[in-house]
Amino acid sequence: MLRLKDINVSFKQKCVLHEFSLEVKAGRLIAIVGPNGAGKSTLLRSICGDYGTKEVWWQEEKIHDLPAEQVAKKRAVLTQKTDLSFEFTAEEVVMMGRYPHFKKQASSFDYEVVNEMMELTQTKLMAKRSYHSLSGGEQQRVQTARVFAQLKEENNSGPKLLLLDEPLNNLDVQYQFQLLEQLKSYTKEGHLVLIVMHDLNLAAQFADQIVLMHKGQLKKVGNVEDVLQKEILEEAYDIEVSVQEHPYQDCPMIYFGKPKSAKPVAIRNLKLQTA
Amino acid sequence: MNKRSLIIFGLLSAVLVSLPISIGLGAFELSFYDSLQIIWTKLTGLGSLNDQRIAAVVWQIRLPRVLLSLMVGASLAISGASLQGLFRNPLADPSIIGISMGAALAAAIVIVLADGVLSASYSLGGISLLAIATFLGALVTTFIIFKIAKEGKQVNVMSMLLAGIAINAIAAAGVGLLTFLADNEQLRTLTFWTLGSLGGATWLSVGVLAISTAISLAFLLPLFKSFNALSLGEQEAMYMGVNTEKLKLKVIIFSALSIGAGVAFCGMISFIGLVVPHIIRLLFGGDYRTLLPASALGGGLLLCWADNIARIVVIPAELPIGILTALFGAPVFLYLILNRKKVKIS
Repeated sequence: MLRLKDINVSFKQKCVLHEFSLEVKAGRLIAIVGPNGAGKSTLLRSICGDYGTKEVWWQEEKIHDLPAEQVAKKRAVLTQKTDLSFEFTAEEVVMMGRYPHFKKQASSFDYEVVNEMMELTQTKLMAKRSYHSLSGGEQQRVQTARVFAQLKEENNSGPKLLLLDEPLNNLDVQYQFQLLEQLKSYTKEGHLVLIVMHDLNLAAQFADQIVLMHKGQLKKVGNVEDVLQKEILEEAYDIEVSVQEHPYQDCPMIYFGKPKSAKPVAIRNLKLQTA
Repeated sequence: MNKRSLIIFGLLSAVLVSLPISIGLGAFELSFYDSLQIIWTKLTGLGSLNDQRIAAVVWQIRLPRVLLSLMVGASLAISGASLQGLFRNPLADPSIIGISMGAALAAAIVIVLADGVLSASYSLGGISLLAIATFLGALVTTFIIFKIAKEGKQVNVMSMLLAGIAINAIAAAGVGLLTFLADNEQLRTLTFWTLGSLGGATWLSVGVLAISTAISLAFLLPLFKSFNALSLGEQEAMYMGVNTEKLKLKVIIFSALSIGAGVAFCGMISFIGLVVPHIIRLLFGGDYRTLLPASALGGGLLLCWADNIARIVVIPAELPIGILTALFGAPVFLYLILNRKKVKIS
């Protein structure tokens, strides 16, 4: 179980997260959704201990009291944007995920894991290619392979925590579905996946639970049907919402209408810029 | 043998072959075999030396000089590779964060201001005042930059880079002012010091450099995983279990140590720290597991051959080494950039 208690984060007196508490069980895929600036990425980074956050428990252990290498074996993070400052091959990038597991020399198991994760993310064919020569989507898949590789252990040592900040960026529809299906089956092994995303329909289709954030606070947490309701979404996103039945899946389908309040200031600025 | 071992073995062989060849080069030429024989006899006491004067040239002048070039080159290159990795910046080298210029300012103070009061030729335990001041100059500059960049318990790498650039400018202004104040002889000493030279190599300087290089290599080489992870970003490296604060401290301390020791005995030698890691990257890829040892060996080789040319090109005089490291390294670097696709192995 992941447990957060009274998390507060502010940047230059602007409160981004206010007394945020959350409890989610392992073995689930949790989608963190909300409008821009709601504090989704800040929440993810707080779980990682980035702002000196201490009150984070994973499997009843205060995770940030553990040594960094030990934490890295239990929890992996895929950030929103990852750029590589020097030239590496795709395979070398995935191998970086294995660093917490060996001291000097990667074992045959480490190489096996790298191979397995590159096959899983369909990046095996580009293993020897320079990371910089890959497309945005391919790079995203290589990074996904890296975080999967980071959490694999030779002996099953309990549930793992996987945190992904908008991992569907740059992926086409086919790979978006593929990745979400892989994450879903990963949770079946007892691991917890927290994923920040914008697409509410994909969240409805794949998430076991949805955490809806608004202005740095928890607006609603619960299963898909409980959170994805017209009134709640309209209030959070400030846009007309219609919730229908999905034509193919057993989940709701969200349609968006017009913004509820116009934003003349932004439009005026835009006009000034274009003039 | 895997690719990495092959690269290290190849470079190590080149260093071992270069050693006796380099000893033979200079105003007084010696064959490869003669050089080896003299070293063998001196080391083991077996056999006899036909000419004591030649033996003295090899043992007292040439061998320390070649060893010093290999160690200074290795120190500068591995520091350059480490600083580039730490700052995630391909332009980082020992001079960008002001360490070299801080050392130069200390040297200029000794050459220009202390001359007459405390002659630069004064020594402490056989090490000249100039060398000691230069070494301290490098360490003090590093300490100042580190202090400026420290925010609470963390060190801000960007602040360190910017502080380094500012300190570099201040130290350069100080060197400029001292150049203005210097008399003709001091000016000549200062100019030649800033161009670097391995002419003053002794067994003492070899000993000091051996210690500083060994310490730096011992602490920097095992950091390859941290440097690789850091290339994804500081945050990502932390998520992969790297203690980035410890890493910053280690890189700065051991870079300052090796750069300070190198500059203290040989003056300013530019370009090695910047260009060698890039040449290695372009040839063999960016993995720090290979890059760090290959840079150390490559840096030693480049400085050794630059010094060989410096010794023979204007016999009986010598060219300042700084001119040659730039003249030698820059075209190779440009060639590799222009032929990047053809040359790249990885």
